[in-house]
Amino acid sequence: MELTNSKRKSFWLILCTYIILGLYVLSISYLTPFIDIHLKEHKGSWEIAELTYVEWASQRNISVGDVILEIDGVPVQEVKRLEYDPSIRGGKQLVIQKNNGQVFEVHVSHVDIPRQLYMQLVIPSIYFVLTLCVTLYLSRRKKTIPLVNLMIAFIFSVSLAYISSGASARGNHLGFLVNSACLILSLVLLLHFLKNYFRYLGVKWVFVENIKFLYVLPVVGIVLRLIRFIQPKFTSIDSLLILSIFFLLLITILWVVLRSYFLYKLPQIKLLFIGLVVPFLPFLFLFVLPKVLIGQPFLNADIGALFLLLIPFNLMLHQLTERLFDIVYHITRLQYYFTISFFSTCWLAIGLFLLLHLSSFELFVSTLFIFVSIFLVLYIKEKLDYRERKVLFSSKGNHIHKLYQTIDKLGDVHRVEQILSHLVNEVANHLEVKAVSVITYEFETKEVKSTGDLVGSSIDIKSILSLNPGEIIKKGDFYIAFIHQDLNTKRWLAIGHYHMIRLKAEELLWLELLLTYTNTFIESTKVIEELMDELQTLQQSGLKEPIWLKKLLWLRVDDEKFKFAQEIHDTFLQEYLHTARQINLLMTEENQEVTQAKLTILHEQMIHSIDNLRAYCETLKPPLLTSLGLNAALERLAERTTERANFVLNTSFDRLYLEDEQLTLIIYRIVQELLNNAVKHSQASIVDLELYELDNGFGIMYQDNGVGCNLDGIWNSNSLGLQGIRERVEAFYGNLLIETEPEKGMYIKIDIMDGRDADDFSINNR
Amino acid sequence: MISVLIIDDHPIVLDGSKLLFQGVEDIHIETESDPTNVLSQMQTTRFDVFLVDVNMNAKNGIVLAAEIKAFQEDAFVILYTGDDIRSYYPLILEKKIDGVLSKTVSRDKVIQTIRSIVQGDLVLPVDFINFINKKMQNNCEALKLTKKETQLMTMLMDGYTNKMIAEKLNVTQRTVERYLTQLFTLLDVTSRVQAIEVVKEKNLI
Repeated sequence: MELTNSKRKSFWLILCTYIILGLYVLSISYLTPFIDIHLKEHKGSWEIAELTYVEWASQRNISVGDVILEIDGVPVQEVKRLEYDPSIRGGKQLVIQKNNGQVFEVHVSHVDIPRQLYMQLVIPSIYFVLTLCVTLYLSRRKKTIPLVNLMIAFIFSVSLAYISSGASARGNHLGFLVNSACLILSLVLLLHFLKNYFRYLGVKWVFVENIKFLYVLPVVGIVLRLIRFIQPKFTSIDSLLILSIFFLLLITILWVVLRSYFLYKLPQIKLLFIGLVVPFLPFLFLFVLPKVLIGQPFLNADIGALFLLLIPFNLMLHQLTERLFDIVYHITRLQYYFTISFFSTCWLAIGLFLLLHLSSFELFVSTLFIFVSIFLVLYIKEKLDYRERKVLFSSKGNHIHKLYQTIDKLGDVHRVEQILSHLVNEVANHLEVKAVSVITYEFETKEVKSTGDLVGSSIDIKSILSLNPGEIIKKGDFYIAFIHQDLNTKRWLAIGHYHMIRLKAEELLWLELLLTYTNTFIESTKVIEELMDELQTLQQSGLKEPIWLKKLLWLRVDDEKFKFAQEIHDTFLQEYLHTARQINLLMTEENQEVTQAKLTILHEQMIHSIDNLRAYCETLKPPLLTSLGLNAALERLAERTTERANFVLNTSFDRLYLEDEQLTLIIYRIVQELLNNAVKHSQASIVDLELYELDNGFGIMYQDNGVGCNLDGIWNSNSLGLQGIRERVEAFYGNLLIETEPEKGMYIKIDIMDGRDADDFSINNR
Repeated sequence: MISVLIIDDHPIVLDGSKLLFQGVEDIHIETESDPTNVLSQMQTTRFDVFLVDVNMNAKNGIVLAAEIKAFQEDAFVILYTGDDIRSYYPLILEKKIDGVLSKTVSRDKVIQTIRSIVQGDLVLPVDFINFINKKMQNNCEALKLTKKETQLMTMLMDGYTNKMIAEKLNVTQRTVERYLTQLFTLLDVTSRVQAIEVVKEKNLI
């Protein structure tokens, strides 16, 4: 707390110093208009050698060669400074003697020379206020920005250096000091800032490590200026020395930034270089260098300095926007547009030059105009493209790639909650924002819920209820985007920008696409979820088969039971009733011989009945199938059939190795039905029956030379037993082929696949 | 004295069967209605002849016969069944049983059969000859392995484990065991080593 308190205090101290000094130097500029007249000594008097504001001078009848008698009521001889600095910078009143001896008085006000008014007073004042606002804003709202204090100090020093230049030019002592000190201090601060900023970027500092000693330089500047008051002869040298220091510092900064850029190639440094150094160039090449080298500037310091004013704001924007903009994206786009504009401008300029024979000035102006126009048109085109067709300049296709990845990830989840949490993560990661959450609104309860830190109630639900899919709006501290809506709920994505973050067009497009996909994802996921729930309830209630199937099964089983009961009733029961009666009669028979004879008959009847019953049992449950296997059972079946049939039966049974054990019974039943059929209906003399192995299953071939039948009639008659065969074959997804015609015998071929694959429904589609 | 154990899970039949031997001096009868108890009973009491019903719920008579033979080599096992006895002729040929009796035959025949079998005779209906004839006919057509059998044997000869076979055929291990049992029965062997020997000997592959 103490540290921040002291920081706060020092900030206020600096702020107050700035305000006081700023107001003072501005008041100096206000009190004395700037006239900037250069003098030369001629025969003991001061003649006007050069006039800066020629227009004003001619209006006031002042011309080169006129003699100055008094400045602000002071006789010119008493102004000692003129010996070393022969010029009048500021003044309200002059007494001038013309060559013809006419003496007159000139009063100067600000309005007389508008240029100096703007350059010396209006712009500096605006800049003063602007600086105040910006620094206050920075210190209040942007404390989180790294190095904000150094930046504020830098902005102050540049501002002071600039606004004090007016006072300094008017020969004000304090103005001189402030101007010199701040000019150097600003560069030292900049160097300090760069050093810390490079450490923040993780870039090695290429200049001397200890740069604190550089803070001596502003003091040196002040001392140099102070010498002027003690030793007026020094006046012509001090400016040169201060400018040299300034120049050296500037070269150092240029060198540091350039060298770091070439070492690390960071786009941030490149932008920094453009933002920091370019504004210095006019001042450097048009004022400082000429002044140092040939003693005569090409451009007035005040105009050159105007460019410098951009630096603090460049720096600030650079710092602020680092979070807001993707620097690489903007630089590559800038380069791209610049190249296009440059080459097309060159082409047009060559054309203009050759066709219209413009003067070089006209050519320069028109070229500049063309260049700026094309550049602007490109940007406008981009905006229009985005608005109308969702087309964007893309530097790397990064967003599309990210979108692809995100959608890929979303595809892996199967629950709506998972999709939403994935979405939040992806958006937070990609846009590098923390405050992302999903707002859910229940239509029935009118309840608003939100995930994450955001408070749902802070957003006015009514205003976003009408949002459509793909729409993104800015509301309060948030970007609000519609995700999904169903019967019960509506969901939005809220991204907190808190006025710190601005999503650029490409990111908005990314988000829009992602949300459209998410909407579809959720739709389909909902359907899947519902199906899963349904399945789960089914499993939990233990209803593996549908009720209708169970019903059908029971009905069929009961049907069969009735059939068997009827058969047993009609055959065995009658036989036993008969036997019981016979035995009953024997019980009263007294003749031993008759009894004996009748018993023998009865025994034979019983044996016969037992045989029948056994055969019946064998039909119901093949006795050998489980004990001796399918082949033995089939052989036995064939033998028994041969015994009761009138045809020659040729059989051939392959030994089968079946994965599905149920199939043995199916095969037995099918063969049983086929043979039954042959015995009952075929009236054939030869029957061939084959069971053979297939690659993944088995086949059954039946052929007879009997009466055959009408194929259409087969399925309508129950007695044929073919119905049962077909049902069995269908139950195992097999193929059944029947070829028959009346009096042409019958050919039946059956294929059934074995193995678990056969349970697959896909086989049904073969 | 011939000691006989009758095994049948129908108590009425069991009583009837016991009654058949009433008054027969040289035959001692014991009964057992639970086929799973037979082996433990054999540990305490020695029987010469076992009359085994085939169709029992707890344990199939044919399986029980094999167990009895394994436990007591000189035991005589006779299947006593209500089924058609011709179904079981192959078992006699394979020496898995010593005789087969229909439950419908007369008392004299049952006693006579037991006595003959104990003396080392084979007592069977005449139609057994038909069976033998047919069998001999079939044997003339040399045994030829099916595609699947060839595949299984090749894997056995290459030293595949059941698990490897299961993976190769994409079936469960239990299914493979079933296949091999079926194959071994066909080749009349009990182990894979024997199976390979037989296949090589008869040049089946």
